[in-house]
Amino acid sequence: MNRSTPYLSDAIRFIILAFFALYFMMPIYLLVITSFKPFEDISFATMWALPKGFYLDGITQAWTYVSQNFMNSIIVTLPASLLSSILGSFNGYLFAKWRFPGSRWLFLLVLFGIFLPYQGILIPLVQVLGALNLYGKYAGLIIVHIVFGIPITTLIFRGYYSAVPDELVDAARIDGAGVLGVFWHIMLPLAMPAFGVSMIWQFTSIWNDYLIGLVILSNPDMRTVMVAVKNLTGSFFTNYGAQMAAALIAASPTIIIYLLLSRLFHRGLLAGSVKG
Amino acid sequence: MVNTAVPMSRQNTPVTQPPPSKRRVTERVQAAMMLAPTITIVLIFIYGFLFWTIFLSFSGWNDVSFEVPFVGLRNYLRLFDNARFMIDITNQLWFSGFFLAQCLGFGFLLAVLLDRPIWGEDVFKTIYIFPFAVSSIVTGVIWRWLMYPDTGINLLFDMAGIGFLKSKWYAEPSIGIIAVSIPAAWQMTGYTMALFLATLRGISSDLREAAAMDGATGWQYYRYVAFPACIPTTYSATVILGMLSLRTYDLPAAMTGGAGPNYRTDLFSNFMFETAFQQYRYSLGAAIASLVIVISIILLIPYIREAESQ
Amino acid sequence: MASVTLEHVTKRFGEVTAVRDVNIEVKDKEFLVLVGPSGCGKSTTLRMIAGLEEISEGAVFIADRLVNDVAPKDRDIAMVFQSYALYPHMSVYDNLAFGLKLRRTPKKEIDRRVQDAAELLGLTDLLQRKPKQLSGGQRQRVALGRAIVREPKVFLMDEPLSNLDAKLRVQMRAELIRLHQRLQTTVIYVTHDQVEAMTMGTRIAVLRDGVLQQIDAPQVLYDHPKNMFVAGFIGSPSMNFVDAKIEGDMADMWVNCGSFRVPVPATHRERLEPLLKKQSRECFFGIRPEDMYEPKYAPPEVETDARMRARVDVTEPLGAEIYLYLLAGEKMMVARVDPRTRADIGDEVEMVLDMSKMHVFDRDTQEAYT
Repeated sequence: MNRSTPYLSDAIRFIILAFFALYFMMPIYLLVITSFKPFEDISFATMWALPKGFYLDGITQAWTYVSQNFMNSIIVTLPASLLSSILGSFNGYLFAKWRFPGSRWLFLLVLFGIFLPYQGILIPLVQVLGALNLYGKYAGLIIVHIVFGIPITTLIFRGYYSAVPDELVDAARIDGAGVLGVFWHIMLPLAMPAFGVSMIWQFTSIWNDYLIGLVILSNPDMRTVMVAVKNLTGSFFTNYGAQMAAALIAASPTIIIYLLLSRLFHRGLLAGSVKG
Repeated sequence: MVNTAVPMSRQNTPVTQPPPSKRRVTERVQAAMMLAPTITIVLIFIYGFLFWTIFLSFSGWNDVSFEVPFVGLRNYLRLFDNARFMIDITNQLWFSGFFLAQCLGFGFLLAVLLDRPIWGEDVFKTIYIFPFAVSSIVTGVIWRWLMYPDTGINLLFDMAGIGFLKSKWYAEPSIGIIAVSIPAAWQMTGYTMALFLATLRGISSDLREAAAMDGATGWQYYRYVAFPACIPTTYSATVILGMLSLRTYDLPAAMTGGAGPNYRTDLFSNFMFETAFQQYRYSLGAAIASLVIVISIILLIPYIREAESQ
Repeated sequence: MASVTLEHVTKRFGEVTAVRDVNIEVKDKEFLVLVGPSGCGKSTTLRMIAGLEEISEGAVFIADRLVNDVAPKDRDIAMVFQSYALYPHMSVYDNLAFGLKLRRTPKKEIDRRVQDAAELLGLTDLLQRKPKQLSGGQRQRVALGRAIVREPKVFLMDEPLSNLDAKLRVQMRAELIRLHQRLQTTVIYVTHDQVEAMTMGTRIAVLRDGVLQQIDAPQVLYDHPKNMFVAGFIGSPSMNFVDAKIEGDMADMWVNCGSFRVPVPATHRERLEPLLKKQSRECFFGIRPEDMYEPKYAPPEVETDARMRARVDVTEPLGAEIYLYLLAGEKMMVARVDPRTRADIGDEVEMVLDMSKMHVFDRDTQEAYT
């Protein structure tokens, strides 16, 4: 056995990995340094230079542009991710533990919603929300995010509950619990990690959404933060420093969540792939 | 309890049998009923809307009128007569192709490099997946300036003395859409890596050791054991990323405003959005959307079948 | 009065029939073991009694009440699972108390019953622990305790000992027997292990491919198996089966096994009369390994006129006995012989068969001639 000569030495592996790490961090580096530069230092020639100090001018100015939108995004994202997770936890439980005839097909139909080409539903969506008097309202956007979030949250929870032995359900049924009792007493207390995964996933995708928010909330005062950041790129009176600062503000919640909870984030990542 | 004088031949006269009409609603049925409300809404929002879009694409419905005249294939004929749509088809192919190639190629490479333990492994993984948490709009804003012809990457090239590599990126009509695929892949490569890495790490250590006992070198292990194991993952990653590339809208919008110079960064979704929501030509927009739906379903059917068989 | 009766019970999963027309009557306070190889439908049968599976056809009665359409929780049963199925997020105390809490039993009563059960099973010091802090044997006790506190009419046990190591399993086996005697409750116990079945059951029901083969007391199954499957399944090592032919008449009857020929004792001839009358007298001859002796060590009451010669293929000395794997012509047979027996591989040995323990099975139906 010649274990001492692996096919690629660790040093070479490390160098390649580090090179890619630099590539992946480069845009983030630019985003962060630019956001903390004073306006007079924002120039094309010194784009890559570190800021001379820690200046909040850009952030402060960008905050005046997007603060309202930031709050709007919170108003939409928090309830939508919470409610879609709750509904997903219930649906996932029913799909995982109470197979009824056709439940498998039903689940696959729901699964399709994860891959939904959004173009395909936008026009009817606007019409239906208009008819329901929800168009242009936070509630409308929240409902849409909940409905389109249910497939992925259901999948996350179903995967989680499938790993819980069926005998636990049987034991609880014999102990006297019904469909709801098993959920409430046994499954829900066990599902807290899945709640973390689902909440993070939903928070990230709803917070980062642009298209649906753009289509449903037309009133400028109600725009989500991503719509506002995008609109800044089209305006002439801001330099790229303010755009970057606004982008950093908009990206910060999901970035912070990612850095703090990357393990849970990672798990959601794999849940969405349905197992190859 | 009814324990007195039980007839021995119960076959004929069950003593306490309830009337047969009053069958218990079994738990399974209860479960199905509890699923019904949300799932019905989800199915309406997905399938109802998809069918409505396809229906609209055969109509001449343009604005808030209640008349929905049937016009057959007129919208589709117009579409294929439209120069912009022809450009979009090319753009979409280039975009999806380059996007997939980068994600799968780099994602797989990184997964293989990370398969065996290495110093700093967790940091690398965190960095690679990081862009996935960053929204497409933010990504677009950053790369808009990274690829700005007068600075950004070009400036880096100059500083490194490789100025001949400079490009006008998305402002260059010939490669505009390929330039847009780079940040798109920047976002999704880490995700692809995670999929491959999960597969590689999922290969049982028994198999790995058995291969080593058979005298397989590191390379041979990958060639004969690990790569074949990654084929299904490659397939599902292709489907997931392909679906994503079909609905890409945010990134070009943030980088070039959407269409770009001479429609060189225009994708189906942007064309559809402008047609339907800026020009209010709903049925024409629906025709574009319907084509995307059809492509998506073709992509997805084998995938769903695969998932179903598990 | 907690009898359990299954009448023509059938379970179908789609196209597959898991349990076919099973009739069992479990008497009050009986310890009935359902045994069979994996996939024979024993667990499905138990789960139908529990109400965890719907019954496709037939009827199940618990304490003379038809329970086909009664939810598991209303059947007055408790169940112990193979994986124990302890609620991982609850303490031992809460695991035991859960079923009572759901039934809105008064707190005092819950506490009394939990403490009693804990004492009975030696769990008193573990009540505040979580399941994952317990050893396998302790988990097993908690699972039992959870069933006991409910004071059910019937205990259902689904391979409760199969996750324990061999030593603990023997210990828990004895403990379960003691528990059954103490609680005086009906127990229906599923296992694939015939030793467990033989040692624990007051009666045993043998299932195969969803069909009930035989149900009777352990010794009856051992002595008078109804067919080759039961004969082979009960007893270890398994009964030897040899292709054979009956020869002679009622006065002088022989079993011809090709490489050897042995006389049928007078007591067994009558039951073989139908075979004698058949055109083909071919059958399977069955003899248990423990009914074969080295002539020197054959007990005095065994007639020594039935002899066979065979070559020793493999020997397995176990200390208290030796398993001899013998080749009689083409046929492999196992004999369980006295440890003093001297036999080496390749030796030609003579064996005495205790023909009073012989079995004969029909060539086509594999049913025993009894």
